[in-house]
This record gives sequence, structure tokens and C-alpha cells, in this order.
Amino acid sequence: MDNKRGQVTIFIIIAIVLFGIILALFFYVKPNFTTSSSSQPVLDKCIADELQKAIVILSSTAGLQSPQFTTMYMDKNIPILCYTEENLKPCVVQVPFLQSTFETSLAKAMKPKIQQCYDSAISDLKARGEEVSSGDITSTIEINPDIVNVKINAPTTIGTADSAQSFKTFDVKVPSQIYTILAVANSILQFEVTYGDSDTSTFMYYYPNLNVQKIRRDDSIKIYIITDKKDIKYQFASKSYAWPAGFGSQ
Amino acid sequence: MIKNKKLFVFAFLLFGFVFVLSTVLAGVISAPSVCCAQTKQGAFCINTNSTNCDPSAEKTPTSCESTSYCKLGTCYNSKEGLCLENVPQRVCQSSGGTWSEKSANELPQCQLGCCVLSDQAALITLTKCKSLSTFYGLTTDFRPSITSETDCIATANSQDQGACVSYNGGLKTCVFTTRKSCGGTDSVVTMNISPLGDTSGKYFYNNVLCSADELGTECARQASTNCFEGKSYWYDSCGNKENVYSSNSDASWNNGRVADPSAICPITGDSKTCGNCDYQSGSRCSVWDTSFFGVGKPTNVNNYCKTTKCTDRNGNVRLNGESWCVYDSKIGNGLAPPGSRSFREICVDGAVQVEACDDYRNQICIHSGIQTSAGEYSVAACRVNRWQDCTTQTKKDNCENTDQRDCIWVAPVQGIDFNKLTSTTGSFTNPTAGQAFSNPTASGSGSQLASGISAVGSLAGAVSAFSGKAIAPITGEAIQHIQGAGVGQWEGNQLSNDLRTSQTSSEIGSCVPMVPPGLQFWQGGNSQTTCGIASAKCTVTVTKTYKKNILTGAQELDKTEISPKNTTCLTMDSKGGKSSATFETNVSWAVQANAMCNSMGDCGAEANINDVFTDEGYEWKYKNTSYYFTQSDLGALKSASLGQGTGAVIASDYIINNQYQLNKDDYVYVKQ
Repeated sequence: MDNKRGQVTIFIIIAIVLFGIILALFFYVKPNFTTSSSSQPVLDKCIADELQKAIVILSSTAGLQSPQFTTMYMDKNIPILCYTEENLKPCVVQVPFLQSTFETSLAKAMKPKIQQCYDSAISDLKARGEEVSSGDITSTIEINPDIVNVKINAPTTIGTADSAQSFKTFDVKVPSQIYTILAVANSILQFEVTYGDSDTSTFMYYYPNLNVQKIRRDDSIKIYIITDKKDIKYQFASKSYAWPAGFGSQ
Repeated sequence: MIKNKKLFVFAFLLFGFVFVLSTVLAGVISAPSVCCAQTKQGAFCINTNSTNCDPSAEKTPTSCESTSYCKLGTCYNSKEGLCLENVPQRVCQSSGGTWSEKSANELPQCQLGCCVLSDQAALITLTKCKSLSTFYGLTTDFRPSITSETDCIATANSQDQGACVSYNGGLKTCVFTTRKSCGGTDSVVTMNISPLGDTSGKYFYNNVLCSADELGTECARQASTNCFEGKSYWYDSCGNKENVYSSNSDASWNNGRVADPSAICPITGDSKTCGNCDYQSGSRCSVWDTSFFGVGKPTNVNNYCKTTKCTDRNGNVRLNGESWCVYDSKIGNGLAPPGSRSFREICVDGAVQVEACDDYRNQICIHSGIQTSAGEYSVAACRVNRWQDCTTQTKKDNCENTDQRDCIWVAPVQGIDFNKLTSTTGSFTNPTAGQAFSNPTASGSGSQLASGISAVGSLAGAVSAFSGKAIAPITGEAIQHIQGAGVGQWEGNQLSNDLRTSQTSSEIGSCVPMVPPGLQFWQGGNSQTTCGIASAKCTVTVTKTYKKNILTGAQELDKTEISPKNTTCLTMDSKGGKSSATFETNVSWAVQANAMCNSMGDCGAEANINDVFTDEGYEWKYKNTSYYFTQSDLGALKSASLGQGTGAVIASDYIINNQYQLNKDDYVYVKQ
């Protein structure tokens, strides 16, 4: 009798634990149970994931794929966007258009990724028994307020000659704060050229979702780090109106 | 003939000397500088040494401004609609921009105006305005007459907003937007005469929500919340913004009419019942934390007002945007340990950010307070340390003029006069003007033999031949911190009162930097010059008066006098008789002179920010004999002062000199 009671108790405990795990799964993990059954290449998630990764990587080098002129900070090469070797002189701009530079670098970085995502989507369709014909793809990337647009030109035909569906362009919109970050970086650069300094607290006041950090080094180089308080960390350096140690003594 | 030959040789030697001297001076005064189209490090258009130029790029022996490819001008990008000044022509063109040597103010395409985008506005160029308007699907509304950001924002805020209802084949849709975006006319459409029975067209209902019952749209009220401009608003089921969130949903809905946020609930700090957050007052719209199954979260409510206040190092509550000064060492009153630095801390969105002022104390942190109904709102800034002309000030008022400089007026030290520099390489100066030194004279009865003893006690504030890096300063999380809390331009009233230097009210004094600058003393350069300003030469005149012994007829020493009488650099010991006057060095004077030296910068004997003391920065000699501060003098150091006042010296218990062996683990010292 005691044995039976003990077994029942164990089963009740196991049931409670299982129930708790299921509850936690639904309310905390929130798995997505949607399945794709559409007969068209599904590119959104693949491209969105790759794009966000590419934005994070490029941001760490101010949008430059292989920056040449850099300074070392925290074991990373930070591009110098404005520089002078002369004391008390404004800096000379090295990279003028941050958004265009970022778009160009992002497009180059995403080109093979977009191809991979497309090829993967086509393979999925073929695996489901669809007849697919595809051509060469081209893509453009536009950075806009709050989103990044990826426009893909990929002529694709799905189905037989009797009933075929044709697709030409795919538009993927990925939410991102990179536009605002680039605008702030551009403003900081303009302040550096004109005044040799900028007030980071003003930017943070107007853009509460951003954090702007300024690190002054003893060689008069300033490192700026702009983050969206999540993954993106846009970093660059500047040296303007340098004031060396002990300058101006009698 | 011989005379002519001599003249020729002399002229030749003179010419040769001048030639060599000018070559050497040219090398010393102005290092060779060229314009490198690209340096070895990858920088474009930099004036630098020719050795830094990339061999494959152009190099011109002139300023970059004089070249065609590196001339600086304004670069314009037609795609971004942005203009940037100080861009080299080559860099601009290679980046796809259009270059002009005119400044941005002179270029029409760079003129800023107010771009109105529905209920938002931005001060940007026309090209940028067109680009953004296209992106948002709006008609370009660019107002070049508005050039102020404040006026531009006010323009956007003044626009009518309401429900834009479209009838399309029986389907009624609604978008909450501005009158202009809706395409409505200037005439006001009210509910009384609204064509609600119509089945076609587009109508704008000013100050009406899309979920208003009278409109009969498919939009259900208060379906969810979201953040907008820092506040939490209700949104209807169509995604249109309604009024600010309140736990009293009926009050928030306001019968389907637009209401001012303050009319629904007052501006609040940390609150979960009112969405009228105010960033400056201490709250911002934030997403509700659902980590614990969203316990306490109301249905359909995803946002609340999260506090933006911070707590500083001393436990004080700080409002968002407040900033204050923090120091990693006691500085001011003419003292600053080598390696010390000022910092500014800012409360931003609930977190304290640390921003360092310029290194080498080229910048200092100043702070003031704005009185508000809620108390003092602290504002701090890093600004240039204006120490450069302190030593040239001869009057107290000029010295302490905080509009012009950051200096303090201190009691003079015998032997130091900043205004009578004789050399710029750490040599000696003339005695102070306040004390009259004179040649030895005969006085008293009978003839005298006066021997002027050129006793010289000197303290040369020269930088030693020490080279190599000193202990690196600590930045970021300081070992110790002193937080500024005073009001007024300078924190002096809050800094330690036990500093060595002390201000004087006398008109006789010396002007020294309030916060001495940092120097790269390990590299030489102008450090020697800066430190040498405080070099001291104390000249003392000793007068011995003899008188004739009536009995023996021999000359006997009657008295010995020292001039000036209040000499501090030497002490006269005349015990044992008039003829046995001896002179000794006065360590107090040396310590005072050293304190003056410290005030010039990273000079003299001093402890750095790590409390490691060194005496490599001074030389103290009397009659060609070197003297040092000994351990017993540390007690004197602690109570010594610069002029008037009392002070304390931050010094460790060990000294780097011949008398003491140091445990090598006690410090890091690099000398090459």
C-alpha cells in the first residue's frame, strides 16, 4: 500500500514538473510553429539574419571593409575618419560620406550571403517537388530611417509550363537603427571639423535609444562609440585641434 | 697684405659659422614638412615629415593647401544631400562627391531649411528633404525661410492632426495624420456637418481619433500601447495613435477626441499607470519587462514610464541630463600629482556615463548649478586649462581674473622671480624684487674688511636626464575618486584644504597655475623650459664688521650680518661668538621652492597619482654640494607650506635617492 502511494506521488511530481516545463516553454521561450507552405522562395528570415550580422560587423569598423588608416583601441583597429598631424589645426576628412560608404560595404558583404539564401530557398522548393528555374541575381541595399531595404532582382519561375508562377523582385525590409547612428556619426564628424570636439550628451538627449561614448587619449585622438544599446557598435576615431602636453609655456 | 689676408680668413670663418648655424637652427626650429597625398599609415593629404609619405603617392614640399589634389574644400553628395567641409579634392571625388573650394554657406545645395514630414520636421537640405519625403510617401514640404531648429520643430507641432477617413467602394479606412498629409483643405470639417453618410471621397476630422464611434470605422479603440516621442500612447486596432496611456482607459480615450497628454494625467516619473513620461523630468517610455511571465502587466499594455534618474558614486539621486565633475586625485591650489586627470560624469537614461577630460590636464572640469523648484540641477563641462600666462602676471587682480586665466596668487619664495628669466633651460633666476640684495659694505668704527660671501643656495628646478615612461596614469575606474559637489566655476571650495600651496592676500606674491599642466617629461622637449621657470637662485650677502682692538690694535670681528635679514634659503648659526658664524641650508626653503616647482607642472620632487614619490626632478646645491630631502624631512614636508598657510604633502615613506634601498616590488620605474 505504501509502495503504491509512493509511486503515485512520484508520478504526480513528474506531471507537475512536466506541466511547469510546458508552461515555461509557451510563456518564456514562445516557439514559432508556423510552417512555410507557399510556393515561392522565402528569403526574408535568411536575409534579415545575415544582414543584421553584417551590420554589426561593419559597424565596428565604421562601415569600412578593410580600413587602412586606423588606431588601436581595446585590441581593435578603429578607423580614423578625420585627422591632422599639426597642432591647433582642424582635421582633414578622410571618409566623407558615411552612409554611402556603409551601403557600398554592406552590399559587397551581403552579395554572397544573398546568393546563399536564394540558393537555399530554391533548394527547399525543389525538395518539396516544385520545378524551379532561376537566373542570375542582383541586389541593392538602401539604408533608410528605422529600416534597411534589400531589393533583390532574381527572375524565378516555379511550376510546369502549364501552370507556372513567375517572380522577378523580392523586397526585404529589416528594422535597424543604423540610419540614425550614421546620422549622429556624421554630425559628430562635422563638429570635429569645425570645433575640434562634440557634446555627446546632446545626441543622447535627442536619441534616447542610442548611447554615445567618447574616449580621449593622450595622443589627442578621440574614439567615438555609438551603440543602439543592443548589438550595433559603430566605432570611429578623430584627431582635430590637437593640444599637446605643456603647449604654450613661456 | 698680411692684414688683408687676416680679414679674408676672418670673413671666411664668419661666413662658415653663420652657414652652419643657420643649417642647424633650421633643423631645430622647423622640422621639414611636406604634403603627402597618402602617408604610409594610409591617411590622405597630411602635412608631415617626408619620411612618413607613401613612396607610391605624390609628395610635394609645400603645404597641402597649395596643391591641387589636396586642397581643402566642401564636398557635396547629391544622393545623401549632405555637405562636409575640410575635405581634400581627391578624397571627395574618389568618394563620388562633388567638390567645391567654397565654404558650405556659399553653396545653394548646402543651405539648410525646415523639411516638414507629416507631424515631424527636420532642418536639412532640399535634396535630403526630397529623399525622405519620397521614402515616407509624402509631398515634399521644404521651407527655406525657417533656418532655426526650434522654429522648425514648432512648425511641425502646430499642424492639425486628426482622423483622415477614406471611402473606397463602401470600404471605410482611417489613418490618424495631419491635415496636409490627408490632402484636406483648410476648411474645418466638424461632426455636425460631416458627410458621414457619404460613400466616397476623403475627409479630415480635426482632433478626432479614428476609433471615434461617430466615424463608424473598423478601428477598435485601445488595442495596444507603444512608445512615441518618449511617451506611452494607446494605439487602435488599425495601428493609429490615440491619446497618451492612462490606467483610466476612459479618461485616456476622451470620447474619441484628441487630448493633450497633461490633460489625461500629469507628467510623471517612474509610473506604470500613466504614460505621460518626460525625459528631462526623469522618465522615458520603455517596454514592459515580461521576464517573470509579465506579472502585474495590464492586458494590451506593453509600455510604461521607466525612470531615467541615476545614483552617483556618493549615493545622490541625479536627474537625466545632469552632469558633475569627478577627480581621481586632489588637484587645485597649485598642485596636481603627475598622472591625475579630471572627469565628467553624466546621467543618461538611468545610467551614469564617464567622460574623461583631455589628458595632461589640458582640460579641467568646471561645474555649476541651475536652481530649480526640485533643487539644484548640476551642469559640468570639460574646458581648456588656461595656465599658460600665469607666471607672467605681476598683479594679484590680474592673476586671479578667472575670466582670462586659471591661476592663483601665492606668497613668494626667495630666489624665484618668474619675470626675470635669464635662461630658458632650467637655469637660475635673479632674486625676488621684494628683497633688496646689495654688495657688501663697510660699517661701524674703524676700517673693516668685508668679505661678501657669495653664498648661493640654489634649487634648480631643472628636469633631470631621466628618460623613459613614468607610471601610466589610470583612467576609467579610478582607484580613488573625489566627486565635485560645489557650485560656482571652480571646485576649489570643495577640494582638500590640506594642500601645500596656499593663496595669499598680500600684493607681493607670485602667480602660478591653479591646476598645473601635465608634461611629457620623459621626452624632454618643452618640459625643461616649463619646469625651469621655477628655478631659484637665492643670493645672500654676508657683511662682517671688524673693529680695532684698543689694546692689541688687531682687527677683531665685531658682528656678522646677513642680508636680506629675512633670508629663508640659508640660516646663520652665530652661537659661540661673533667670529664663528656658519651658514646652513634651510630645508623649509627648499621644500617651498619645490612646491613652487610642482606648481609649474610635473616638475620637482613629488608623489604621483599612485603615491610613488620621486626626487629625480630637482637639484639642490649650496657651494657646489648637492642636498636632498631626507626621510626626516618628510615630517617637515608634511607641515611645510608654500608661503603662508599650512599644508600637507602626499608622499610615501620611501624616497628614490642614494640613501635608501627600495624594494623593487614597491614601484615601477623605467629609466633608459
